[in-house]
Amino acid sequence: MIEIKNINYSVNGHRILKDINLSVKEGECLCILGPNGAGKTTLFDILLGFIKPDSGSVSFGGKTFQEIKKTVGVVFDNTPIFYYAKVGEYLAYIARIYGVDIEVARALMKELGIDELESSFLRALSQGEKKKIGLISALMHDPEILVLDEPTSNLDPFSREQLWNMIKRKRRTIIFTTHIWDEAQKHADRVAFISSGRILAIDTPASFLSKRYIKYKKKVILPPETDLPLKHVHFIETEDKIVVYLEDTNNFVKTLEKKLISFSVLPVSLEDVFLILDKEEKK
Amino acid sequence: MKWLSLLYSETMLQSRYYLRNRDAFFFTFGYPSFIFILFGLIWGKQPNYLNVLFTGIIGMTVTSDALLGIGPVVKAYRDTGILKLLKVLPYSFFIHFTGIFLSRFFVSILSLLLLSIIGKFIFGMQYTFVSFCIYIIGIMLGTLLFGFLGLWVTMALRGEGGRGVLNFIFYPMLFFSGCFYPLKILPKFVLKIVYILPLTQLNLFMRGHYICAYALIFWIILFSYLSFYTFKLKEVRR
Repeated sequence: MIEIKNINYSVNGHRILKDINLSVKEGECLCILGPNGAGKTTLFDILLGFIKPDSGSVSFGGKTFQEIKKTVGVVFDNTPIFYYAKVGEYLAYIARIYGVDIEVARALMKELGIDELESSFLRALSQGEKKKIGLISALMHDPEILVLDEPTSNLDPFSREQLWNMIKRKRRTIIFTTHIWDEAQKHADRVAFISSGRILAIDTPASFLSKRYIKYKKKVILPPETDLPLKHVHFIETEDKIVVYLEDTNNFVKTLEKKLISFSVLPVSLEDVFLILDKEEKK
Repeated sequence: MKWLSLLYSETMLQSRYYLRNRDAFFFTFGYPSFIFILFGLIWGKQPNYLNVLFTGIIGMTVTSDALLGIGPVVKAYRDTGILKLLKVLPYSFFIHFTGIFLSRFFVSILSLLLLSIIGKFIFGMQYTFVSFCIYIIGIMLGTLLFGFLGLWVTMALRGEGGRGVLNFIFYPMLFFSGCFYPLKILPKFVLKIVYILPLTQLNLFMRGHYICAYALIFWIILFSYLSFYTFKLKEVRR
Protein backbone atom coordinates (compact mmCIF):
# COMPACT_ATOMS: atom_id res chain seq x y z
CA MET A 1 0.00 0.00 0.00
CA ILE A 2 2.66 2.51 1.08
CA GLU A 3 6.10 1.99 -0.44
CA ILE A 4 9.14 4.01 0.59
CA LYS A 5 12.11 3.03 -1.56
CA ASN A 6 15.78 3.94 -1.18
CA ILE A 7 15.19 7.37 0.33
CA ASN A 8 18.30 9.46 0.88
CA TYR A 9 18.21 13.05 2.05
CA SER A 10 20.99 15.47 2.96
CA VAL A 11 21.16 19.07 4.11
CA ASN A 12 24.42 20.96 3.49
CA GLY A 13 26.30 17.70 3.00
CA HIS A 14 24.96 16.23 6.24
CA ARG A 15 22.97 13.05 5.61
CA ILE A 16 19.66 13.18 7.44
CA LEU A 17 18.19 9.97 5.99
CA LYS A 18 20.18 7.03 4.64
CA ASP A 19 18.77 4.31 2.39
CA ILE A 20 15.32 4.20 3.93
CA ASN A 21 13.21 1.30 2.69
CA LEU A 22 9.80 0.67 4.22
CA SER A 23 6.52 -0.81 3.13
CA VAL A 24 3.15 -0.80 4.83
CA LYS A 25 0.60 -3.38 3.74
CA GLU A 26 -3.08 -2.56 3.40
CA GLY A 27 -4.70 -2.55 6.84
CA GLU A 28 -1.35 -2.70 8.62
CA CYS A 29 -0.21 -0.38 11.38
CA LEU A 30 3.49 0.45 11.16
CA CYS A 31 5.26 2.42 13.84
CA ILE A 32 8.47 4.33 13.24
CA LEU A 33 10.15 4.42 16.58
CA GLY A 34 13.23 6.33 17.52
CA PRO A 35 14.64 9.08 19.69
CA ASN A 36 14.33 12.81 18.95
CA GLY A 37 16.48 13.85 15.99
CA ALA A 38 16.47 10.37 14.48
CA GLY A 39 14.85 11.62 11.25
CA LYS A 40 11.23 10.60 11.86
CA THR A 41 9.67 13.97 11.02
CA THR A 42 11.93 14.44 7.98
CA LEU A 43 10.77 11.05 6.73
CA PHE A 44 7.16 12.21 7.20
CA ASP A 45 7.88 15.42 5.33
CA ILE A 46 9.14 13.33 2.43
CA LEU A 47 6.20 10.93 2.68
CA LEU A 48 3.75 13.84 2.44
CA GLY A 49 5.68 15.56 -0.33
CA PHE A 50 6.80 18.63 1.64
CA ILE A 51 10.43 18.02 0.72
CA LYS A 52 12.01 16.20 -2.17
CA PRO A 53 14.50 13.48 -1.30
CA ASP A 54 17.92 13.41 -2.99
CA SER A 55 17.03 9.95 -4.26
CA GLY A 56 14.32 7.35 -3.86
CA SER A 57 10.56 7.37 -4.16
CA VAL A 58 7.33 7.19 -2.20
CA SER A 59 4.13 5.65 -3.52
CA PHE A 60 0.67 5.05 -2.13
CA GLY A 61 -0.58 2.01 -4.05
CA GLY A 62 1.28 3.22 -7.15
CA LYS A 63 0.02 6.80 -6.77
CA THR A 64 1.54 9.96 -5.33
CA PHE A 65 0.29 11.53 -2.12
CA GLN A 66 -1.19 14.41 -4.10
CA GLU A 67 -3.34 11.96 -6.08
CA ILE A 68 -4.81 10.17 -3.06
CA LYS A 69 -4.86 12.87 -0.39
CA LYS A 70 -8.67 12.81 -0.17
CA THR A 71 -8.40 9.35 1.37
CA VAL A 72 -5.61 10.21 3.82
CA GLY A 73 -5.83 11.68 7.30
CA VAL A 74 -2.74 13.43 8.67
CA VAL A 75 -1.88 14.36 12.23
CA PHE A 76 1.08 16.68 12.76
CA ASP A 77 3.41 16.63 15.71
CA ASN A 78 2.51 20.28 16.47
CA THR A 79 -1.11 20.79 15.50
CA PRO A 80 -1.19 23.77 13.09
CA ILE A 81 -3.76 26.34 14.15
CA PHE A 82 -5.18 29.55 12.77
CA TYR A 83 -4.41 32.02 15.57
CA TYR A 84 -7.74 33.85 15.42
CA ALA A 85 -9.95 30.83 14.74
CA LYS A 86 -12.38 29.19 17.11
CA VAL A 87 -12.52 25.41 17.39
CA GLY A 88 -15.95 25.16 15.74
CA GLU A 89 -14.88 27.39 12.84
CA TYR A 90 -11.69 25.42 12.30
CA LEU A 91 -13.48 22.07 12.22
CA ALA A 92 -16.23 23.49 9.99
CA TYR A 93 -13.49 24.74 7.62
CA ILE A 94 -11.88 21.29 7.39
CA ALA A 95 -15.30 19.62 7.08
CA ARG A 96 -16.24 21.93 4.21
CA ILE A 97 -13.03 21.09 2.35
CA TYR A 98 -13.64 17.35 2.73
CA GLY A 99 -17.35 17.76 1.97
CA VAL A 100 -18.31 16.28 5.34
CA ASP A 101 -21.16 17.30 7.65
CA ILE A 102 -19.88 19.27 10.67
CA GLU A 103 -22.03 17.00 12.85
CA VAL A 104 -19.46 14.23 12.25
CA ALA A 105 -16.79 16.42 13.86
CA ARG A 106 -19.18 17.33 16.68
CA ALA A 107 -19.83 13.64 17.41
CA LEU A 108 -16.08 12.98 17.59
CA MET A 109 -15.63 15.98 19.90
CA LYS A 110 -18.33 14.62 22.17
CA GLU A 111 -16.71 11.22 22.20
CA LEU A 112 -13.42 12.78 23.31
CA GLY A 113 -15.20 14.90 25.91
CA ILE A 114 -14.23 18.24 24.38
CA ASP A 115 -17.59 19.30 22.89
CA GLU A 116 -17.76 22.28 25.24
CA LEU A 117 -14.65 23.71 23.54
CA GLU A 118 -16.46 24.48 20.26
CA SER A 119 -16.61 28.21 20.89
CA SER A 120 -13.10 28.47 22.39
CA PHE A 121 -10.21 30.00 20.51
CA LEU A 122 -7.76 27.38 19.26
CA ARG A 123 -4.84 29.35 20.67
CA ALA A 124 -6.31 29.06 24.17
CA LEU A 125 -6.33 25.26 24.14
CA SER A 126 -3.79 23.09 25.91
CA GLN A 127 -1.36 21.03 23.79
CA GLY A 128 -3.39 17.90 24.54
CA GLU A 129 -6.65 19.53 23.45
CA LYS A 130 -5.02 20.80 20.26
CA LYS A 131 -3.84 17.27 19.58
CA LYS A 132 -7.39 15.97 19.93
CA ILE A 133 -8.66 18.64 17.52
CA GLY A 134 -5.88 17.64 15.10
CA LEU A 135 -6.98 14.03 15.28
CA ILE A 136 -10.66 14.91 14.78
CA SER A 137 -9.77 16.88 11.66
CA ALA A 138 -7.78 13.88 10.39
CA LEU A 139 -10.54 11.37 11.07
CA MET A 140 -13.73 13.23 10.19
CA HIS A 141 -13.69 12.15 6.53
CA ASP A 142 -13.19 8.49 7.52
CA PRO A 143 -9.85 8.08 5.69
CA GLU A 144 -8.45 4.75 4.50
CA ILE A 145 -4.89 5.77 5.30
CA LEU A 146 -3.61 7.57 8.37
CA VAL A 147 -0.24 9.29 8.60
CA LEU A 148 0.34 10.28 12.21
CA ASP A 149 3.36 12.13 13.53
CA GLU A 150 3.48 11.72 17.32
CA PRO A 151 -0.34 11.42 17.51
CA THR A 152 -0.55 11.13 21.28
CA SER A 153 2.31 13.30 22.53
CA ASN A 154 1.22 15.66 25.35
CA LEU A 155 -1.70 13.40 26.25
CA ASP A 156 -2.39 11.60 29.48
CA PRO A 157 -2.63 7.77 29.37
CA PHE A 158 -6.45 7.81 29.49
CA SER A 159 -6.72 10.20 26.53
CA ARG A 160 -4.11 8.16 24.64
CA GLU A 161 -6.29 5.08 24.94
CA GLN A 162 -9.37 7.05 23.89
CA LEU A 163 -7.57 8.28 20.79
CA TRP A 164 -6.24 4.88 19.83
CA ASN A 165 -9.72 3.37 20.19
CA MET A 166 -10.95 5.99 17.78
CA ILE A 167 -8.07 5.44 15.34
CA LYS A 168 -8.41 1.66 15.32
CA ARG A 169 -12.18 1.48 15.24
CA LYS A 170 -11.95 0.72 11.54
CA ARG A 171 -9.32 -1.30 9.68
CA ARG A 172 -7.03 1.30 8.15
CA THR A 173 -3.51 1.49 6.82
CA ILE A 174 -1.58 3.45 9.42
CA ILE A 175 1.96 4.76 9.60
CA PHE A 176 2.83 6.59 12.78
CA THR A 177 5.80 7.86 14.70
CA THR A 178 6.16 7.92 18.43
CA HIS A 179 8.74 8.03 21.12
CA ILE A 180 6.39 6.30 23.58
CA TRP A 181 7.71 2.73 23.56
CA ASP A 182 4.64 1.15 25.20
CA GLU A 183 2.39 2.67 22.59
CA ALA A 184 4.37 1.06 19.78
CA GLN A 185 4.37 -2.28 21.56
CA LYS A 186 0.63 -2.15 22.12
CA HIS A 187 -0.74 -0.71 18.88
CA ALA A 188 1.71 -1.40 16.04
CA ASP A 189 1.61 -4.54 13.90
CA ARG A 190 5.24 -3.88 13.02
CA VAL A 191 7.85 -1.52 14.36
CA ALA A 192 10.71 0.11 12.44
CA PHE A 193 13.55 1.34 14.63
CA ILE A 194 15.18 4.48 13.29
CA SER A 195 18.37 6.05 14.59
CA SER A 196 20.61 8.71 13.03
CA GLY A 197 18.57 8.57 9.84
CA ARG A 198 18.97 4.84 9.34
CA ILE A 199 16.48 2.02 9.80
CA LEU A 200 18.04 -0.39 12.31
CA ALA A 201 15.44 -3.16 12.08
CA ILE A 202 11.80 -3.82 11.22
CA ASP A 203 9.76 -6.54 12.87
CA THR A 204 6.72 -7.25 15.00
CA PRO A 205 6.88 -6.13 18.66
CA ALA A 206 6.64 -9.79 19.78
CA SER A 207 9.56 -10.79 17.58
CA PHE A 208 11.67 -7.92 18.89
CA LEU A 209 11.15 -9.26 22.40
CA SER A 210 12.08 -12.81 21.40
CA LYS A 211 15.53 -14.34 21.79
CA ARG A 212 16.34 -13.48 18.20
CA TYR A 213 16.97 -9.89 19.22
CA ILE A 214 17.50 -10.00 22.97
CA LYS A 215 18.64 -12.92 25.08
CA TYR A 216 17.88 -11.17 28.36
CA LYS A 217 14.55 -11.21 30.15
CA LYS A 218 15.15 -8.65 32.89
CA LYS A 219 16.98 -5.40 33.40
CA VAL A 220 18.28 -3.67 36.49
CA ILE A 221 18.23 0.10 36.46
CA LEU A 222 20.89 1.86 38.51
CA PRO A 223 21.59 5.54 39.15
CA PRO A 224 24.17 7.12 36.83
CA GLU A 225 27.88 6.74 37.66
CA THR A 226 27.25 3.72 39.93
CA ASP A 227 30.26 1.39 40.23
CA LEU A 228 29.01 -1.93 38.92
CA PRO A 229 29.43 -4.61 41.59
CA LEU A 230 29.94 -7.37 39.02
CA LYS A 231 32.10 -7.39 35.94
CA HIS A 232 31.24 -9.06 32.64
CA VAL A 233 27.59 -7.94 32.56
CA HIS A 234 25.90 -6.42 29.55
CA PHE A 235 25.08 -2.81 30.36
CA ILE A 236 24.22 0.45 28.63
CA GLU A 237 25.01 3.77 30.25
CA THR A 238 22.91 6.83 29.42
CA GLU A 239 22.87 10.34 30.89
CA ASP A 240 20.36 9.52 33.62
CA LYS A 241 20.82 5.81 34.30
CA ILE A 242 22.77 2.61 33.87
CA VAL A 243 20.77 -0.32 32.53
CA VAL A 244 22.19 -3.80 33.21
CA TYR A 245 20.71 -6.69 31.22
CA LEU A 246 20.63 -10.12 32.85
CA GLU A 247 19.12 -13.53 32.20
CA ASP A 248 18.86 -14.16 35.91
CA THR A 249 18.83 -11.19 38.25
CA ASN A 250 19.02 -13.04 41.61
CA ASN A 251 22.79 -12.93 42.26
CA PHE A 252 23.16 -9.42 40.95
CA VAL A 253 20.28 -8.12 43.06
CA LYS A 254 21.70 -9.74 46.20
CA THR A 255 25.03 -8.05 45.59
CA LEU A 256 23.35 -4.69 45.14
CA GLU A 257 21.38 -5.15 48.34
CA LYS A 258 24.56 -6.00 50.24
CA LYS A 259 26.25 -2.86 48.96
CA LEU A 260 23.15 -0.73 49.69
CA ILE A 261 22.85 0.51 46.10
CA SER A 262 19.36 1.65 45.07
CA PHE A 263 18.00 -0.09 41.99
CA SER A 264 14.86 -1.30 40.24
CA VAL A 265 14.21 -4.50 38.30
CA LEU A 266 11.99 -4.48 35.23
CA PRO A 267 11.21 -6.78 32.31
CA VAL A 268 12.97 -5.87 29.06
CA SER A 269 10.97 -3.76 26.59
CA LEU A 270 11.19 -2.48 23.03
CA GLU A 271 13.30 0.41 24.30
CA ASP A 272 15.96 -2.05 25.47
CA VAL A 273 15.98 -3.84 22.13
CA PHE A 274 16.40 -0.47 20.45
CA LEU A 275 19.23 0.57 22.78
CA ILE A 276 21.07 -2.70 22.19
CA LEU A 277 20.59 -2.57 18.40
CA ASP A 278 21.61 1.07 18.32
CA LYS A 279 24.73 0.39 20.38
CA GLU A 280 25.70 -2.49 18.08
CA GLU A 281 25.11 -0.33 14.99
CA LYS A 282 27.31 2.46 16.35
CA LYS A 283 30.15 0.03 17.09
CA MET B 1 -19.14 25.43 -8.50
CA LYS B 2 -17.72 23.99 -5.29
CA TRP B 3 -14.60 26.15 -5.67
CA LEU B 4 -16.73 29.30 -5.72
CA SER B 5 -18.45 28.31 -2.50
CA LEU B 6 -15.05 27.46 -0.95
CA LEU B 7 -13.63 30.79 -2.11
CA TYR B 8 -16.58 32.65 -0.59
CA SER B 9 -16.29 30.91 2.75
CA GLU B 10 -12.49 31.29 2.72
CA THR B 11 -12.88 35.04 2.12
CA MET B 12 -15.43 35.45 4.89
CA LEU B 13 -13.38 33.37 7.32
CA GLN B 14 -10.17 35.27 6.55
CA SER B 15 -12.01 38.58 6.95
CA ARG B 16 -13.30 37.46 10.34
CA TYR B 17 -9.84 36.32 11.47
CA TYR B 18 -8.33 39.58 10.27
CA LEU B 19 -10.83 41.76 12.08
CA ARG B 20 -10.36 39.78 15.30
CA ASN B 21 -6.82 41.14 15.33
CA ARG B 22 -7.21 44.32 17.36
CA ASP B 23 -4.29 46.07 15.59
CA ALA B 24 -5.74 45.28 12.19
CA PHE B 25 -9.20 46.43 13.27
CA PHE B 26 -7.81 49.70 14.62
CA PHE B 27 -5.71 50.45 11.53
CA THR B 28 -8.60 49.55 9.20
CA PHE B 29 -11.38 51.51 10.90
CA GLY B 30 -10.29 53.48 13.96
CA TYR B 31 -7.12 55.23 12.83
CA PRO B 32 -8.32 56.23 9.31
CA SER B 33 -11.58 57.63 10.73
CA PHE B 34 -9.71 59.56 13.41
CA ILE B 35 -7.21 61.07 10.94
CA PHE B 36 -9.98 61.89 8.48
CA ILE B 37 -12.06 63.70 11.08
CA LEU B 38 -9.07 65.48 12.69
CA PHE B 39 -7.37 66.70 9.49
CA GLY B 40 -10.75 67.39 7.90
CA LEU B 41 -11.76 69.65 10.77
CA ILE B 42 -8.41 71.49 10.74
CA TRP B 43 -7.82 71.98 6.98
CA GLY B 44 -11.15 70.95 5.45
CA LYS B 45 -12.04 74.48 4.36
CA GLN B 46 -9.11 74.68 1.90
CA PRO B 47 -10.27 74.10 -1.68
CA ASN B 48 -10.34 70.42 -2.75
CA TYR B 49 -8.50 69.38 0.43
CA LEU B 50 -11.23 66.97 1.60
CA ASN B 51 -11.05 65.05 -1.69
CA VAL B 52 -7.24 64.82 -1.40
CA LEU B 53 -7.52 63.67 2.21
CA PHE B 54 -10.35 61.18 1.52
CA THR B 55 -8.50 59.41 -1.31
CA GLY B 56 -5.21 59.59 0.61
CA ILE B 57 -6.75 57.89 3.62
CA ILE B 58 -8.28 55.18 1.44
CA GLY B 59 -4.79 54.68 -0.05
CA MET B 60 -3.29 54.49 3.44
CA THR B 61 -5.86 51.92 4.61
CA VAL B 62 -5.42 49.72 1.54
CA THR B 63 -1.64 49.85 1.92
CA SER B 64 -1.80 48.99 5.59
CA ASP B 65 -4.29 46.11 5.09
CA ALA B 66 -2.47 44.58 2.14
CA LEU B 67 1.19 45.33 2.87
CA LEU B 68 1.11 44.43 6.56
CA GLY B 69 -1.86 42.06 6.45
CA ILE B 70 -0.91 39.51 3.78
CA GLY B 71 2.84 38.79 3.70
CA PRO B 72 3.34 38.55 7.49
CA VAL B 73 0.21 36.38 7.79
CA VAL B 74 1.38 33.94 5.10
CA LYS B 75 4.80 33.84 6.73
CA ALA B 76 3.20 33.05 10.09
CA TYR B 77 1.25 30.28 8.33
CA ARG B 78 4.51 28.80 7.15
CA ASP B 79 6.17 29.12 10.55
CA THR B 80 3.26 27.53 12.41
CA GLY B 81 2.74 24.66 9.97
CA ILE B 82 -0.52 25.86 8.45
CA LEU B 83 0.93 25.70 4.95
CA LYS B 84 1.70 22.05 5.60
CA LEU B 85 -1.88 21.51 6.72
CA LEU B 86 -3.20 23.20 3.59
CA LYS B 87 -0.92 21.05 1.48
CA VAL B 88 -2.35 17.79 2.83
CA LEU B 89 -5.96 18.87 2.39
CA PRO B 90 -7.75 18.20 -0.91
CA TYR B 91 -7.79 21.91 -1.56
CA SER B 92 -6.09 24.36 -3.83
CA PHE B 93 -3.50 26.76 -2.45
CA PHE B 94 -4.82 29.18 -5.05
CA ILE B 95 -8.25 29.36 -3.36
CA HIS B 96 -6.67 29.98 0.01
CA PHE B 97 -4.40 32.78 -1.20
CA THR B 98 -7.14 34.32 -3.30
CA GLY B 99 -9.34 34.22 -0.19
CA ILE B 100 -6.73 36.13 1.80
CA PHE B 101 -6.43 38.81 -0.91
CA LEU B 102 -10.22 39.06 -1.27
CA SER B 103 -10.66 39.38 2.50
CA ARG B 104 -8.27 42.35 2.61
CA PHE B 105 -10.10 43.85 -0.35
CA PHE B 106 -13.39 43.29 1.46
CA VAL B 107 -12.31 44.95 4.74
CA SER B 108 -10.86 47.90 2.80
CA ILE B 109 -14.26 48.28 1.11
CA LEU B 110 -15.88 48.31 4.55
CA SER B 111 -13.43 51.03 5.58
CA LEU B 112 -14.30 52.98 2.41
CA LEU B 113 -17.99 52.80 3.36
CA LEU B 114 -17.26 54.04 6.88
CA LEU B 115 -15.12 56.93 5.59
CA SER B 116 -17.81 57.82 3.04
CA ILE B 117 -20.44 58.00 5.79
CA ILE B 118 -18.14 60.20 7.89
CA GLY B 119 -17.41 62.40 4.86
CA LYS B 120 -21.09 62.80 4.09
CA PHE B 121 -22.41 63.45 7.58
CA ILE B 122 -19.53 65.46 9.06
CA PHE B 123 -18.15 67.30 6.03
CA GLY B 124 -21.14 67.17 3.66
CA MET B 125 -19.12 65.46 0.91
CA GLN B 126 -20.92 64.31 -2.25
CA TYR B 127 -19.94 61.16 -4.15
CA THR B 128 -20.82 60.13 -7.67
CA PHE B 129 -21.30 56.57 -8.88
CA VAL B 130 -18.20 56.93 -11.08
CA SER B 131 -16.01 58.21 -8.25
CA PHE B 132 -17.13 55.30 -6.09
CA CYS B 133 -16.27 52.83 -8.86
CA ILE B 134 -12.83 54.45 -9.15
CA TYR B 135 -12.27 54.06 -5.41
CA ILE B 136 -13.24 50.37 -5.62
CA ILE B 137 -10.92 49.78 -8.59
CA GLY B 138 -8.18 51.64 -6.69
CA ILE B 139 -8.70 49.42 -3.66
CA MET B 140 -8.54 46.33 -5.86
CA LEU B 141 -5.30 47.44 -7.57
CA GLY B 142 -3.79 48.58 -4.26
CA THR B 143 -4.62 45.29 -2.53
CA LEU B 144 -2.92 43.31 -5.30
CA LEU B 145 0.09 45.62 -5.50
CA PHE B 146 0.85 45.93 -1.79
CA GLY B 147 -0.21 42.36 -1.05
CA PHE B 148 2.37 40.98 -3.49
CA LEU B 149 4.99 43.49 -2.29
CA GLY B 150 4.45 42.38 1.32
CA LEU B 151 4.50 38.73 0.33
CA TRP B 152 7.75 39.14 -1.56
CA VAL B 153 9.52 41.03 1.23
CA THR B 154 8.44 38.64 4.00
CA MET B 155 9.27 35.56 1.95
CA ALA B 156 12.65 36.91 0.86
CA LEU B 157 13.82 37.83 4.36
CA ARG B 158 14.51 35.44 7.19
CA GLY B 159 13.11 35.61 10.69
CA GLU B 160 11.23 38.67 11.81
CA GLY B 161 13.21 40.94 9.45
CA GLY B 162 10.35 41.08 6.95
CA ARG B 163 7.95 42.96 9.20
CA GLY B 164 10.61 45.53 10.08
CA VAL B 165 11.38 46.16 6.41
CA LEU B 166 7.66 46.46 5.64
CA ASN B 167 7.29 49.11 8.34
CA PHE B 168 10.38 50.84 6.93
CA ILE B 169 8.70 50.87 3.50
CA PHE B 170 5.24 51.79 4.81
CA TYR B 171 5.81 54.84 6.99
CA PRO B 172 8.08 56.97 4.75
CA MET B 173 5.89 56.07 1.77
CA LEU B 174 2.82 57.12 3.73
CA PHE B 175 4.41 60.47 4.53
CA PHE B 176 5.74 61.26 1.06
CA SER B 177 2.89 59.93 -1.11
CA GLY B 178 0.55 62.82 -0.53
CA CYS B 179 -1.95 60.93 1.62
CA PHE B 180 -2.58 63.93 3.88
CA TYR B 181 -1.64 66.89 1.67
CA PRO B 182 -1.60 67.88 -2.02
CA LEU B 183 1.66 66.85 -3.73
CA LYS B 184 2.10 70.32 -5.25
CA ILE B 185 3.37 71.68 -1.92
CA LEU B 186 6.47 69.48 -2.14
CA PRO B 187 9.74 70.80 -3.70
CA LYS B 188 10.34 69.70 -7.31
CA PHE B 189 13.40 67.56 -6.58
CA VAL B 190 11.43 65.60 -3.94
CA LEU B 191 8.53 65.13 -6.36
CA LYS B 192 10.85 63.26 -8.78
CA ILE B 193 11.22 60.51 -6.17
CA VAL B 194 7.70 60.76 -4.83
CA TYR B 195 6.15 60.02 -8.24
CA ILE B 196 7.93 56.67 -8.36
CA LEU B 197 6.27 55.49 -5.13
CA PRO B 198 3.39 53.07 -5.75
CA LEU B 199 1.20 54.71 -3.11
CA THR B 200 1.57 58.08 -4.89
CA GLN B 201 0.37 56.45 -8.09
CA LEU B 202 -2.55 54.84 -6.26
CA ASN B 203 -3.57 58.16 -4.70
CA LEU B 204 -3.25 59.97 -8.03
CA PHE B 205 -5.34 57.27 -9.75
CA MET B 206 -8.15 57.72 -7.22
CA ARG B 207 -7.88 61.51 -7.70
CA GLY B 208 -8.66 61.11 -11.39
CA HIS B 209 -5.22 60.62 -12.99
CA TYR B 210 -6.24 57.37 -14.68
CA ILE B 211 -2.97 57.07 -16.57
CA CYS B 212 -1.45 55.94 -13.26
CA ALA B 213 -3.32 52.63 -13.66
CA TYR B 214 -0.56 51.53 -16.07
CA ALA B 215 2.09 52.14 -13.44
CA LEU B 216 0.02 50.27 -10.86
CA ILE B 217 -0.39 47.30 -13.20
CA PHE B 218 3.35 47.32 -13.88
CA TRP B 219 4.05 47.14 -10.12
CA ILE B 220 1.49 44.36 -9.68
CA ILE B 221 3.10 42.24 -12.41
CA LEU B 222 6.60 42.86 -11.02
CA PHE B 223 5.75 42.12 -7.38
CA SER B 224 3.55 39.12 -8.18
CA TYR B 225 6.38 37.60 -10.21
CA LEU B 226 8.91 38.29 -7.44
CA SER B 227 6.66 36.92 -4.70
CA PHE B 228 5.76 33.72 -6.60
CA TYR B 229 9.43 33.21 -7.49
CA THR B 230 10.59 33.72 -3.90
CA PHE B 231 7.78 31.59 -2.52
CA LYS B 232 8.66 28.72 -4.84
CA LEU B 233 12.32 28.93 -3.90
CA LYS B 234 11.55 28.30 -0.25
CA GLU B 235 10.29 24.91 0.78
CA VAL B 236 6.99 24.82 2.59
CA ARG B 237 8.71 23.91 5.81
CA ARG B 238 8.49 24.96 9.41
